[in-house]
Amino acid sequence: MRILLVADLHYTLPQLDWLVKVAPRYDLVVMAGDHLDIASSVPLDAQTVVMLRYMDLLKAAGRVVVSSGNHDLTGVDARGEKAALWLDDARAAGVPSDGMSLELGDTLVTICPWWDGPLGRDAVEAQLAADAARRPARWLWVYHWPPSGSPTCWTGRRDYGDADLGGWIARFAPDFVLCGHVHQPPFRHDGAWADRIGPTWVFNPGRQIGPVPAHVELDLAAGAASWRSLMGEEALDLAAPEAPPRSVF
Amino acid sequence: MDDMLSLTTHLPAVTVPAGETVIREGGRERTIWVLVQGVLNVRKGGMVVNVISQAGAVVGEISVLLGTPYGADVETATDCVLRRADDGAALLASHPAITTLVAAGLAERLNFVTSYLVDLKHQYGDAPGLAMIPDVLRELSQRQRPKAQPGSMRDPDPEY
Repeated sequence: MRILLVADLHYTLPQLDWLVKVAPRYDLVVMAGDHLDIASSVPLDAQTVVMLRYMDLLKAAGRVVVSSGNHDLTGVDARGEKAALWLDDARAAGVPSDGMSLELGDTLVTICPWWDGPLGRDAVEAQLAADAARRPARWLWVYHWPPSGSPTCWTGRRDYGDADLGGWIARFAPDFVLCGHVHQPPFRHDGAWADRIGPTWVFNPGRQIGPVPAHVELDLAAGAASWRSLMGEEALDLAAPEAPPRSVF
Repeated sequence: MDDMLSLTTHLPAVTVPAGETVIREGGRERTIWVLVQGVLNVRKGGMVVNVISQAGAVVGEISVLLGTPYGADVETATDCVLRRADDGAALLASHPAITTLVAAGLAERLNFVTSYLVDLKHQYGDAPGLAMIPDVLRELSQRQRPKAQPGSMRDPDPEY
């Protein structure tokens, strides 16, 4: 299975066009949150209309799953916490999204929403516990914010990670966690696009300017992962005990 | 500011079962409808181009304001409760707050469209082949949904 990971496109339309173009080359395209941009001059309501049309195009081009990030929150859900309410329309259109899980061959994909309060956090934990009970050979999470303490959340000045994800990784030991949120780590000396935490690989492609987003490719059959960006390319062996030294600097 | 539901309690309410056409494209009835409960589909050329679910949403007002036939079919996607103003123009003239709310709704949708266009120009320059633009514009120009509330409580930093 070949998987393409992008995150933090932040309503960058040429990058979305690129994604639609390359999607047929992959068995799965993962968009790990922050599809929208709350700092854009385009109202969030208008962005959601455009983004849902891109998701339709991506679904037609191949299999795509999307999780929410903090920029994707548009209202308060039934629990009284902020949520990406507009992704209900994506789910209705057949695009797997927040809170859903799907099995692709021997791989279980768990799509975690951005949680914004204690009830949402509990729901994510329950989702992971439920999926842990039925995990097949491989288990992959989509979760917007990388875990604290990992180089995948190093901004160049501070460790800026999710305080809860590390505990869940330790408890459930997934094979892969596909993230985004922190834009700088792959472009910083002490940061990284890949990190191995026990048996778990964590990936964060980072964010860059230009028509092609920084992205990570996973080739599960070949046991390989690679990262491509304006800085260059790096690759690693998924059987390795840790990520190799950075080479693009 | 009063909302449209509280300002139109004097209008007769009608219950319309799912699948009924409330407004037919090309019609000239000059009726304005206010959605109280349920979901409406806006259909043009046989395709659903918008879904309206916000209580207090107004439909038919553009035809009344411009003096033109209705520009799309509006049908009930679920059982709906609607308020009906047979003389739409009289409704708009009856209370400044009603006029203001209708104007604000139109202005908001116009802002969606113009902001989207300005940003397209900024992001794409003069590149051609933006096939989705007509569909997006059509949807934005008819959009009536609860306004998005951006931002995260857990990580309010807009930089990430």
